[in-house]
Amino acid sequence: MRNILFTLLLAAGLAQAAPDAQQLLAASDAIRNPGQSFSLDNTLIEYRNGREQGQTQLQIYARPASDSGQYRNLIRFLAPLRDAGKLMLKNGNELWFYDPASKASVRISPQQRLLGQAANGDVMTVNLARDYRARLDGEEAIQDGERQTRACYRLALQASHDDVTYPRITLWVDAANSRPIKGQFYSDSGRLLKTAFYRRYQLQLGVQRPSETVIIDGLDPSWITVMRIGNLVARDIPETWLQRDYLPRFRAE
Amino acid sequence: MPCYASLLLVIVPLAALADGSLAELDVLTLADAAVSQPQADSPLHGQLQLSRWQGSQWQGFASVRLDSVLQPGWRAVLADRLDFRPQAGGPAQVNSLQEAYLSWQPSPEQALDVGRINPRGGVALGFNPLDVWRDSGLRTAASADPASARDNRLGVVMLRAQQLYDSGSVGVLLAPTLASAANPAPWSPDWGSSNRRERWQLQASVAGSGSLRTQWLLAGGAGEALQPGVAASLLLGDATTVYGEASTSRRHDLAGGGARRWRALGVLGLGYTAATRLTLHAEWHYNGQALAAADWAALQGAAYGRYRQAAQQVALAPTRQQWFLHADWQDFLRPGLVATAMLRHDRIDDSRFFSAGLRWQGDRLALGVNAERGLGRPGSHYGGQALRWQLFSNFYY
Repeated sequence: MRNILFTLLLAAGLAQAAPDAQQLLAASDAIRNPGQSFSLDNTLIEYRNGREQGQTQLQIYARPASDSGQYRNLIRFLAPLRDAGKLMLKNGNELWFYDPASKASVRISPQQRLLGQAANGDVMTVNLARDYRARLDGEEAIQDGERQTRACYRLALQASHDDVTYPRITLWVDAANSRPIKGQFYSDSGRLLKTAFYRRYQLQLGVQRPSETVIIDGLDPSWITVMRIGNLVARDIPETWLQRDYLPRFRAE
Repeated sequence: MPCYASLLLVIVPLAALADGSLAELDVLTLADAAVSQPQADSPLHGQLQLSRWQGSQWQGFASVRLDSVLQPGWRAVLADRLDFRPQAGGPAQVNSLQEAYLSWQPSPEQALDVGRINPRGGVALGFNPLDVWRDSGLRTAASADPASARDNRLGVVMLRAQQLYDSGSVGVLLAPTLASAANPAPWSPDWGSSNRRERWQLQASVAGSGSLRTQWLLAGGAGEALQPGVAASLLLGDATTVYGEASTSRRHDLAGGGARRWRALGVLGLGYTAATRLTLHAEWHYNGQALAAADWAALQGAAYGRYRQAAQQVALAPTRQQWFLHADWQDFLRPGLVATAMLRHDRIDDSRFFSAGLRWQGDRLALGVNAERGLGRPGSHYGGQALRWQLFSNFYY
């Protein structure tokens, strides 16, 4: 009996010492994203060299794809006013941009999407565990987004296919509760493209989730984006909304 | 006191900017001070523009777009533009009722629209063979930018029904005859420009394998030959899109002569975006309704004028082949600055049209300058247009 107890304790200890990286990643995803269709308001405040450059206000409608489990997004621009009413549809790497003035639905490349602020919205609505293989890269105490020292697992994520924006990611998750704390997003060549701090956790849809992400551009570190999430609500997003032909018809109700 | 505290929170990280970047924790301090300024979700938006071409007087326009949900399933859309152009020889104001329609959507999959609608077909940037409604009428001169003509034209009064599926749709558009001729009166809705004849269109969108997406079209009308068409787009890698569209119909050439035979319109294009925020499009345009090169070169006098007018009326180039290059560079040299450039090269008569622009754009205001010039022999497609400049300011509301 004593031997069995010892074995169990050892197993538990080992399990604690080496948690499953993929499960940690999935748990972290579940904190950032509800597992169902939802909509949220997203405000992006952009700084260059410490000066505010402008604000982008988006409404994001997200629905998990039945095949990949990845979110398909319909993004509606509210501000700046020159972009009001424009829409972007993201279905994996299939991207369309719709302008109500010209009625044109223009196909854009993933690279072109990355140029806009809307790309930052995807830092939130991506199920990383679906597209990346996670490896536990170590334990580390880092300063979190609230400047508190926090014991974290450092996860090294490698994309499992080519259809992702960032081929490699380093993600720090809270060792106590799997909350995402910090992420670094890299290009194929190993270039740092973005650093993100997930912070200001609030109760949203029954779970403590980050309500703010601070994003530092890797290529131009003086370019900072503060992304605030609000009004996160579960809602039905019909499949028909998430296609090019629906863009001229979309109107938030 | 809170204001002073906020100020300090901003000033402290500014001290770390000597090298142009902030340490991560300074960034968080900056973020602490960030204040969201929510924009109300208004159904009403518009634009005011004031501009002046070199050698002309100031002119401008005010546009308004109302897109309102009346009640669940019912939506009303109104788009109007009022141009002010104080030149001699024309009315000082011209109003364009671009869209005014009611939309009923009993379910997410079905929709019925009735009224003046500006439908848009095709996937290319500079020319859309699938856009069979492109000749619906411009009441004011558009700029060289192809988007300008699309944005400013009149819609067509029609009934439009659409059935959507998970990855595509089918639709039918029916447009009646409302008037026999255009009405240039400044405040006329000008039904004659948009609805001179009965027309119809069947359309379908189908998702192909991989990233291939296709649109199919069959159009016709009173006294018009059937016009089938197809458009396709494909993603190549992370930064490149490839697209093409074509339509054809049995008709005479634009001069009203030649044999009545199948004459195609086509575009092949490629879009590329660099990491520097520069997006390039290159397109080859084909117009099988235009005169052959020798006939175009031989046109003179009144026949030349009639031919150019006929091509303009149906929004087609007067020659058979063109190259179209377009560049758009966001944050050019500094954030908020946008540089654009466009080249149209007529492959038949070797004439060229250049335009370039630079604009600064803020949240509500844009200020910019455009320049354009045509090069070519007199009587060629783009020949005879001297260099000219335009200053403009746009205000968005």
